[in-house]
Amino acid sequence: MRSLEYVTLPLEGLNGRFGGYWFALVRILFGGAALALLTFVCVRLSLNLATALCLYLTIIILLSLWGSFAASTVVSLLAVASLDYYFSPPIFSFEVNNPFDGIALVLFLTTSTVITVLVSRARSRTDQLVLEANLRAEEALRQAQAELAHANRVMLVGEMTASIAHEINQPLTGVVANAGTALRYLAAQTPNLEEARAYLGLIARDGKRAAEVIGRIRALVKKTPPRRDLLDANEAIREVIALTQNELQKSSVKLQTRLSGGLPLVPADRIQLQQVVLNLMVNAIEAMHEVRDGARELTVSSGSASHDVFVEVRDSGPGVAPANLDRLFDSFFTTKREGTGMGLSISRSIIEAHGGRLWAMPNEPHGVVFRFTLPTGADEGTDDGADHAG
Amino acid sequence: MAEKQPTVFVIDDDVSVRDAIEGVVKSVGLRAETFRSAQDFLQSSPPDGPNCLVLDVRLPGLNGLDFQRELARLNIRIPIVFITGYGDIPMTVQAMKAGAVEFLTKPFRDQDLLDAIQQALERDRATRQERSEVAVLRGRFEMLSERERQVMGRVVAGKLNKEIAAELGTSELTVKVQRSSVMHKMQAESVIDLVRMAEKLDHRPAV
Repeated sequence: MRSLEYVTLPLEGLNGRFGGYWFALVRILFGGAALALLTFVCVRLSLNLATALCLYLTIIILLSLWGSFAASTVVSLLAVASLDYYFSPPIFSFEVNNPFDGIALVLFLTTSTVITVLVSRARSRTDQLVLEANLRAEEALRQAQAELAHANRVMLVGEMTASIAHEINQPLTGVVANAGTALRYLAAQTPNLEEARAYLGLIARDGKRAAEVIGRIRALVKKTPPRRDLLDANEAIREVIALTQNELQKSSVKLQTRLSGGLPLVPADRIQLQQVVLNLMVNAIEAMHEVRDGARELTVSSGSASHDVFVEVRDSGPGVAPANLDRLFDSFFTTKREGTGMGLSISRSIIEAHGGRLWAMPNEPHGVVFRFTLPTGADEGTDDGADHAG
Repeated sequence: MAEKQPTVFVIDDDVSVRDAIEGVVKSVGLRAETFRSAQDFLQSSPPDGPNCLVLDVRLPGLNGLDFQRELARLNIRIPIVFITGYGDIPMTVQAMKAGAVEFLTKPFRDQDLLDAIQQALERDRATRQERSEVAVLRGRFEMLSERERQVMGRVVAGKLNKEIAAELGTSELTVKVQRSSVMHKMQAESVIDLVRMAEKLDHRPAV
């Protein structure tokens, strides 16, 4: 998902103060030239003051619309001088014989000033409205992206339900059994407090473990704004792998993990990183549903290279034609019957927002490798989609 | 005969479950040995005495039913109590048909587990008893001469002494003597007894 095209104003695209001066200068020169030309024509045609005045006013108006307050002002002054010199008797002199002529000149200057000011205000008002509209659009886009990412996380959690239930069931089994054991020790002829205490300790440990799983699930479905913590990618990956155990078992997929030790910490949002890995793993498992004969193998590996940490998810599924590898990341592209087609596209947005890259390559002998990189703190990533080499 | 201490073997990859089951087993005075994987279990040497196995039906990379078959193939006849964290109904049926003692779903009541374990240990006791009986009978059978064995085979087939004598080409008197010797050596109190012994020996090749 890219930023909206800004509604562009008919500006010459020049920025900065130097650009501003150039902007005004061009218009002044143009205006001056137009004025000179008009003056020549009017003098030749021997037009009177009133006519000339109206024509000059037209130029001022056009100049204002063209967008420079300074130019309009300068040209207005030149116009008044010119009117005085060439059209108000005595001509070719700055004197004014007829007081009504004088009044006309003053009114001309007033009118042109008023017009210039009005047009200028209207322009800046329009500029402001456009800017506000752009800001609102950007904000709306950010919102929509966040909502979509959240929806994706909720969907992932939904798919993980059986795994989650299982993760909680294990410590719960411990709790129930240990409670029975502790009670048995207490119900003995001589209650064995030591043993009962020991098993209560185990209950506390197991209860805490279940609570952690709940906490992790909650974090996934919460709508929190993204954080930037320094995190250990391997740890985040391991937590997520635990959640996929059921899916792996059900689909008879063999999981291999090759997480390099000593990975540098990366600034990243833990939940979003886990979301990406989950998306990739779920995709891989589903891709391998087709594999009848031959192994269904899923490999998750991690490592570091130059300034990045990379993570790879490899499957041994049927694979994808090299030409279509990048299409996988298009929004709404899916081969799944009930797929939304959003998982990979969202994953890519997330990685790019972290300053990294996510792409797909063919796996040997068949299947797909998804690889993404995350810049370490040493190489500050930008926040909105700037690509990094490698 | 003093009984050796029963042992409950536990295979589950989850630490909470392993610790809990170990606790339950120990709290009733039984011995528990826990393993994280089937491989670890197979590499250990089980102590003597009634044993049983509490096994998670889904260990990483290993299907519990496959393991059940593997144990049968290795001639390790240990009664199995399956436990599972999933609602594996089809697996339940299969497991029970393959001879599992019980199939419990997590979280199970500790009492249910104990009941299943007791049942499994009983089954193991019965099997061991059976086995030792057969061993004794085989020992006795080994003591019979070739001729005596031939006689025994025909006696339990319901043949009369006269017929046996004719088949073996000896006199009826010889057969009577040999028959008496068989009864004595096998310590059978009646022909019915002998027939039962023969059945056990036939259906239980050298144990």
